[in-house]
Amino acid sequence: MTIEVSTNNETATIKIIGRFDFSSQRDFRNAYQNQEHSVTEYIVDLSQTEYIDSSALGMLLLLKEHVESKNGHSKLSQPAPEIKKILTMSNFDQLFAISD
Amino acid sequence: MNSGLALVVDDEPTNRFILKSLLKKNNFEVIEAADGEEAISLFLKNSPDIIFMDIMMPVMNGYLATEKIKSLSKEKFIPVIFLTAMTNEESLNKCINSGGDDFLTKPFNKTILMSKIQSLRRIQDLITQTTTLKDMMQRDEEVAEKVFNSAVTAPNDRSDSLHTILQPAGLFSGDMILTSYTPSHDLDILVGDFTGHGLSAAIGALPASGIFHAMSKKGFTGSEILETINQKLNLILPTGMFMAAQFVRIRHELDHIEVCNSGMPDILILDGDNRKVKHKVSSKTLPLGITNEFTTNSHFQYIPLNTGDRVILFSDGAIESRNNKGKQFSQQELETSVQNSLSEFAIEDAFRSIQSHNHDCTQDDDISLLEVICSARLLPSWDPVQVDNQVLNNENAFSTDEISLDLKYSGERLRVAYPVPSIINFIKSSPGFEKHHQALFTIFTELFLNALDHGILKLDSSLKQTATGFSEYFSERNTRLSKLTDGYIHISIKSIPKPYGADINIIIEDSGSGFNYKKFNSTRIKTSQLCGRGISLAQELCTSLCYKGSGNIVEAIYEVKQ
Repeated sequence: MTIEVSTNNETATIKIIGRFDFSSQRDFRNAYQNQEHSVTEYIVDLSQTEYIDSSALGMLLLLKEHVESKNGHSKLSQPAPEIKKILTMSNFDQLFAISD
Repeated sequence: MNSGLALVVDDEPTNRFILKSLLKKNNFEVIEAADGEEAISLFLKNSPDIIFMDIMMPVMNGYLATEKIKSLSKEKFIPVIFLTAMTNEESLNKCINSGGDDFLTKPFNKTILMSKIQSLRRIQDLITQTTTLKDMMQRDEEVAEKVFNSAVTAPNDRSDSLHTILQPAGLFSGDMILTSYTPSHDLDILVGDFTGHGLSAAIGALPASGIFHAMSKKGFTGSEILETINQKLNLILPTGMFMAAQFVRIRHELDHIEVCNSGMPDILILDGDNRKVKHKVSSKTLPLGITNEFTTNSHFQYIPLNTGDRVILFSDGAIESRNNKGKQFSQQELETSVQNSLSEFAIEDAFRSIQSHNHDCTQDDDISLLEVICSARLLPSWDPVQVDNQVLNNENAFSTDEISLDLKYSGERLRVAYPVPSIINFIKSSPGFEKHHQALFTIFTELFLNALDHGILKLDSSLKQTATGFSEYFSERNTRLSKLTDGYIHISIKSIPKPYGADINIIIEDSGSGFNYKKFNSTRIKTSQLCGRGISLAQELCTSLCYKGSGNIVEAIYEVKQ
């Protein structure tokens, strides 16, 4: 698993490559906690994520909480069909904007 | 300060003497051995903290002695430092291979030797700490496992028609399976999957199972149970931890099930005759413990059932387990495997397929599977008057003194009114009435729902006779209930002393227009087309049950024998 972070003005994109699971916890948290205060838009790029488990869903909730405390918003982007299935099964589309 | 006990092993007395003086200067106590064999016996007798070993000695050489000592001290780390005149790579390599921790060539430098001792003692301290922590953790886990089993697993009701498989990925499972019979003999099942796995995932199972068992036993509705668990988990679990859940209530009539799926894989309903999947219930709500704005009522599905049909629940661990090529066992494969199964329980075959798929791979996630055969065998023998030993031991004598209760719901309050568990708790608390709670529960449930569904909401129960009508009935019920603004249901209960004990008089009046009850009152028909099977069951339990007014008042008398 690798996490790539890119920041452009107020938007931070966190790209998760490979497996998104419990072992990603520290890296994922650092990716959003180390952002400047001016960053309010968080995009989690799932286009190259191969697997997602319930711990990762929990991490997304933590991201959401963090971002909302800064009055920002977060969205999930381009999940592969398998990943999207899990997000829909958990009804996370009620919590996050998911873009194709 | 005492540095500990050192064992010096060398066949040369001079060598021993030099080392001994150095160690003593550094606050070691020292014992000496002249060969390997003596070293072993001194090791066993005195348990030294550190050993200095020569290689070439008579009787037994240093390699053999070290091997033996290391195999005898598995529990504790005792550093062995080889001191040797040999400098070739092979001999030095052999020092480490035989279990030695370090080596130094003679003549040795005092400062280097003391540094090596210091470094090894540091490792020794670390290992001691780790072992202590490991022991502590093991004790904690044993306690936690006991608590977990008695709180989560032990209270579950069991049946020959119900089969479960739960294989945790570690000592603790983040999956849990809960089963409980309600007072009217419906079977409640909850399969839950907490975020992650291991002890931290299992913690949430304690409050969840407590609420499930308590509320199911008192006869609360499925959505009340799920909403209460959600509230509790949302309050106590940190953000990022939640529970996906499948809830199924199998009605004792075995004609339908009430299902809610919150973030879990599909629930499968198999035809009892050909074992084909005839219905799937997919996830409709968020998992529990994420948000307080959580209502399951509109997400409950009512699915008609034939006797013999099977309901299969499983967690995502069952369909996402990967083999060594990284390929997941899919839901499709699981369905194929249960449909082709000839075993008594199809999940046995599904589980075998999962195991052979995973062959040789470490299990990433907890796996749970549950199957229930919806046949009469599933129901506990119907004994409306429950003799509970706890109750019999109760010192409270039967009392004929009157109790009464009068309650009324009106207007919008009817949307969420379900007073039955509270009424039963009230009656149960009266000495002499406790053991009748099950029969009374059934009577109240039937009469109350009849007043609400038919009296107030004017639903037509004949709808329930077809499969599509069934879901239509319940969705119509939800719609009408959510729009309800007027009407009332008035319940009054009174006990009347009798020579044999007491009668409990129940009157339920609704604001509906009633129905033509003449035929009903004159015959004690077993299956009343008019009101469905529910009322006839209540009728059997009561000494009398008749309608009054325009059919909007029902009066029932239940006999309590002393």
